[in-house]
Amino acid sequence: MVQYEETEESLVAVFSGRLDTVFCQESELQVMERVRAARGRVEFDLAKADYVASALLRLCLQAAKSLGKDRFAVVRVNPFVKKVFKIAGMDSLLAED
Amino acid sequence: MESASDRFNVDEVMQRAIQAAAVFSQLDQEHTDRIVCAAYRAGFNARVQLAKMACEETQLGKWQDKVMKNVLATQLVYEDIKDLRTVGVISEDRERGIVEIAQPLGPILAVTPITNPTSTVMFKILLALKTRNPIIIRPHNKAIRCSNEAARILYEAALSEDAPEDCVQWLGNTTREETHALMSHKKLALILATGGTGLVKSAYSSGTPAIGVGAGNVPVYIERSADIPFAVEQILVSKTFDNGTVCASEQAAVTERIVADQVEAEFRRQGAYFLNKEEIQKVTEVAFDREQGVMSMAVVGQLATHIAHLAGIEVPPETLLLMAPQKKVGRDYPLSSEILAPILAYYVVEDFPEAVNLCIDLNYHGGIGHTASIFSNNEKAIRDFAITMNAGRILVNTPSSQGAVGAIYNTLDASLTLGCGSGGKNITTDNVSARHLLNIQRIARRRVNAELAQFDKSLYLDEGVDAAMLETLYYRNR
Repeated sequence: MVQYEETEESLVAVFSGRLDTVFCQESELQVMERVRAARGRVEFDLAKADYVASALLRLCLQAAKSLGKDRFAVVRVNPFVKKVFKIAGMDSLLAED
Repeated sequence: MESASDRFNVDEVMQRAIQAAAVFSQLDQEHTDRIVCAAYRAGFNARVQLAKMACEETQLGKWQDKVMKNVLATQLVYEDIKDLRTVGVISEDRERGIVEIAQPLGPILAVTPITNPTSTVMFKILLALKTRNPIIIRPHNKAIRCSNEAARILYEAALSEDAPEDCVQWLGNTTREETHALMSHKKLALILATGGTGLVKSAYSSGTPAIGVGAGNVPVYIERSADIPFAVEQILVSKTFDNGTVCASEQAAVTERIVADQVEAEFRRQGAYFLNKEEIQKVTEVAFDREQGVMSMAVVGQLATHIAHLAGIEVPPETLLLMAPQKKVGRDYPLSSEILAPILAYYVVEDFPEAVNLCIDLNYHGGIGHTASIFSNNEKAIRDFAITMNAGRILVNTPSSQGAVGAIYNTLDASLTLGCGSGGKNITTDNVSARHLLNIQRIARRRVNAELAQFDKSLYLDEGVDAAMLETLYYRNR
């Protein structure tokens, strides 16, 4: 599931649980609507993510493309999820620790 | 479902594969095995349809035998791999303090042949799924439809068990340049190359790790102690299987003069036709491309009667195999080379040493590292024969086509990619299986070498201490 924490300067989408294809299909529209409407920086918080499907990776790429890399980052990844981003060659989307 | 062949861009294909690899890395053993099971079942269920498609598209072989190849590639391969641990911790040795962990390699490019198109595709996909490696199928240009259909069937089944998207991709007609670009792509982890020598050489020189195969020129030695009717029957079972398209099929039979009459009578009785000198010449013209120095595609996978017709010779309609008596091996004897068709070179020698010498010549004439076969009931003869052969597989009292691929007539790993070792410029002589597609990492716990720990290491600095002296001191009071 995804919850949102929004301020004037930022939007944090907090994802939790199994981010599989079904979840992504159901959430994609809503997530991207919030992303496009955000005024400041956008972060996807994956601290509580158990599993990341290809669709979630695509969603991250979509968000980064929509906002530009300066306004988007994936944050608080656990080592297993970090490994996924690393293998996928998408570690540039991860915020620096 | 759209396939990669509709939009082939090397970087895009590889990016999809890399993403699939990333997602794959998260799967546990249970999920992985569910995916493999679903894929195997789908492939097995489509075995007849795919066999017919392969036969129709390639015009090679017999669909009934291609069904058996598909059975090997699905059911028998699955039997071999289903219980393998390929995810996470796969072994623990508490005494040695070593824990082994299986990691996937990454994206694999699978080059598949015209002779066994659908079976090789399914075989490689099952291995890749079992080891959590995304796979890209690059089919032979004359077997695109059937190969890609096999890939699609297994992919859809894998997806039904929530396999990563793009864990299987397949290509259409690829140019040499596109194949090279794929092979040398920096994100590719491995090439599994089943095909001709040129292609395998390309794979090995691409800069990407590769597992290739070699050509076979399999000698079968019918040793004097063999059960001759049985031996001949098994050779025919093998040599006529899929009209001789298996690279491990016998290419030359060698027998001893003392049993030659019986061998020949048995071959004739069971449907072989012995060519005379003139007929050998005519068959050579159609079966061998002298310019290229290789077999002619016109005869590959064709019936013996059809080949005879092409050569303009009359044979009985029930003829299953054309026997070509030869004197020597080499370029002046084209039928001593590999010809994937129901044509068998035939040699008669005096004794065991002469037989083995001839088999060595055949083995080295285009078949180094592949397979050798012997029919014998003499254990010493079998061992001595095996030791002299440069072959990854030495089959005993077994049809070579079905024997080399494992699981049917022996306990070799079920495989459609048969390594030929250094002789064949391959990295292994194994029947390639799932274990070849893993990176094994090892956790090494502290287990201090006791002898070294209590040894006075300053003695190593004393040039006067030689090995004999050292050993006496090192193992003292052990």
